[in-house]
Amino acid sequence: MATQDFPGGAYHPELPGGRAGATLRVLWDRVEARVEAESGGATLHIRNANLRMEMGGASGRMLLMRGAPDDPTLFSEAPGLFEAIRDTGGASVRAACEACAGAVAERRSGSRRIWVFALVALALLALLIPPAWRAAADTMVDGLPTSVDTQLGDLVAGQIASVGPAVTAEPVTKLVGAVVDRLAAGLEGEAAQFEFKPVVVENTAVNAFALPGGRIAVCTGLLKRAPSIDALAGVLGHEMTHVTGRHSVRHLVKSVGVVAAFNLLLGDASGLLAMAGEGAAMAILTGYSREQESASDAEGAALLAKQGFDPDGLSAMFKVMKDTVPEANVPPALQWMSTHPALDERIAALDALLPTLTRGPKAELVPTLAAAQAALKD
Amino acid sequence: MDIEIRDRPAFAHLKVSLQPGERLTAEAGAMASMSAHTALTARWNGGGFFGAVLRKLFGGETLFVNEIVCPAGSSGPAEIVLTQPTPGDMHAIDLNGTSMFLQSGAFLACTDGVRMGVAWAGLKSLFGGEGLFRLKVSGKGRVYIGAYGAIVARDLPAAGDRELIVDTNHLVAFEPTVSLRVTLAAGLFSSFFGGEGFVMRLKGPGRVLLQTRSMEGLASWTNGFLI
Repeated sequence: MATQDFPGGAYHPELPGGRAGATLRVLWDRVEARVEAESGGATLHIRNANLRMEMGGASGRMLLMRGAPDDPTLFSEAPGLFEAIRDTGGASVRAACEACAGAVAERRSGSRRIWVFALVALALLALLIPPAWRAAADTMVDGLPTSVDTQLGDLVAGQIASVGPAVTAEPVTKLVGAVVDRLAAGLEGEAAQFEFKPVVVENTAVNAFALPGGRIAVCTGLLKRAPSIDALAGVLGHEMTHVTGRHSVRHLVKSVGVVAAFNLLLGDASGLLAMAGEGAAMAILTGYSREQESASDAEGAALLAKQGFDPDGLSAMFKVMKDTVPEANVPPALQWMSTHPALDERIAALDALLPTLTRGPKAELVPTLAAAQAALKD
Repeated sequence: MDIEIRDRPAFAHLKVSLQPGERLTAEAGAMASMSAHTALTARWNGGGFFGAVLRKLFGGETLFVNEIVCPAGSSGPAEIVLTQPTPGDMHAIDLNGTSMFLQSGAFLACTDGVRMGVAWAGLKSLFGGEGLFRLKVSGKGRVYIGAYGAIVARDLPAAGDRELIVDTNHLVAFEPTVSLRVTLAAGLFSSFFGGEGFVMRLKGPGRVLLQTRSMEGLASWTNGFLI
């Protein structure tokens, strides 16, 4: 039978460093390993009678061969070596081959079990962790004092000035103040502790926004386009519920992660403030989640009805603004509205909600919207 | 050629002295200082673009390697100092026609006669924190590696007490005859709450080189001080 050479190696104390690359050759009664002269120059062997084999190594495809205690340990990944040894025949070789094949099969099934287990564990974690985290984040924010909201809001208060100069005309400021006060009077419990500070800024955008803590800014563009006092109240009520619901802080906590949450909980909001101060101020105003927007729509409408405004007001404002293009000079994060397809959904949701709301005594406000809009015409 | 590992174990560096005409291959960026007449040539790491890219992406090595040569006509030897980014020891591996698998980033320098390749490590290796591919050095020559922490060598026998359990991320290099399995450190509860998680079960024969620190350990420790 033609003898074949297989590249491999050998471990033996006689070799320099205890190991060397070798060429393995399968002979009728033994496996021989020849080490080159420059690597030590030796011929080692393992007799078939003593041969024990196993598949192993880092690749799992390395044939490891051992013999008597003084024999070298031979190894090779070359294909065909196992078959060449098996083909030499003989009882001892047959026994060695069978033992080797058996061990390989057992190892494969063991590692398969681990993979199944690992995949199941990963899937479970992926399913359970997100809702658990959201619940934990909400509980953490509930434990935070509202002074944190105010601190965060104060940080970005400067943004309001960048939108436009404050309007001081009395009919305007008195009207907005009156609406906010009337709505705030309807807040109960924890929500009532917020101190709202409304301001009107000169900007043609049909926009209004609230900062955590209670600052609310209304653009003159929105005031001019408001079809009724109820529409203005609808917008303000929506923004106020963002404040009372602490949506900005919740949104921030959920996106910033566990570390920030722990810092907030332990009272050290300074790290978070530092982050915001570094230009991440916009992070506070990156918008609210869709759930939060829907919640504010519904709560705002309920507040409107309770305080004597027409709960249809918010929906009416949406309809007026559907055609409005957001102004380029108002930062996108401060866009109260965008021509988002979800707008129609929100109108529909509000319209569905209307019949369920009970209306309180009608609000009569002084001054009137007409007077305020007239003051803005100059 | 004379290569010496100096200032072990924390801030080890290689002090290399090349006679005229001799050369050494080193990782790009490892050179800290060298004689003025030393010639540096950048080559693709492992001959060819694709090999280099593979080694960079999966072996954590650099895209290029430096061939450091003391030009043949020089009047004297070239002295070079080679360093590594992490604090830790360096180790010389003598390849006698054999091979060694190296952890990502471990390779520092090698003499002529040593070939570098990238070998598929399998998914279990990724799971064990060692990446999908391994760097393989083979041939006849000497390879210098560096690690984070001190380097401990263990020789696993072919029979008898041939298994060793190693925390993932502490393995620096091992011979191809060593088999690896990723397992849980203990039962499910103990593994994760005891902080060990997954470990590698190594089975001989072969030599393994371990490092006494891990970058991942350092990273998670410093995270505790950051916001």
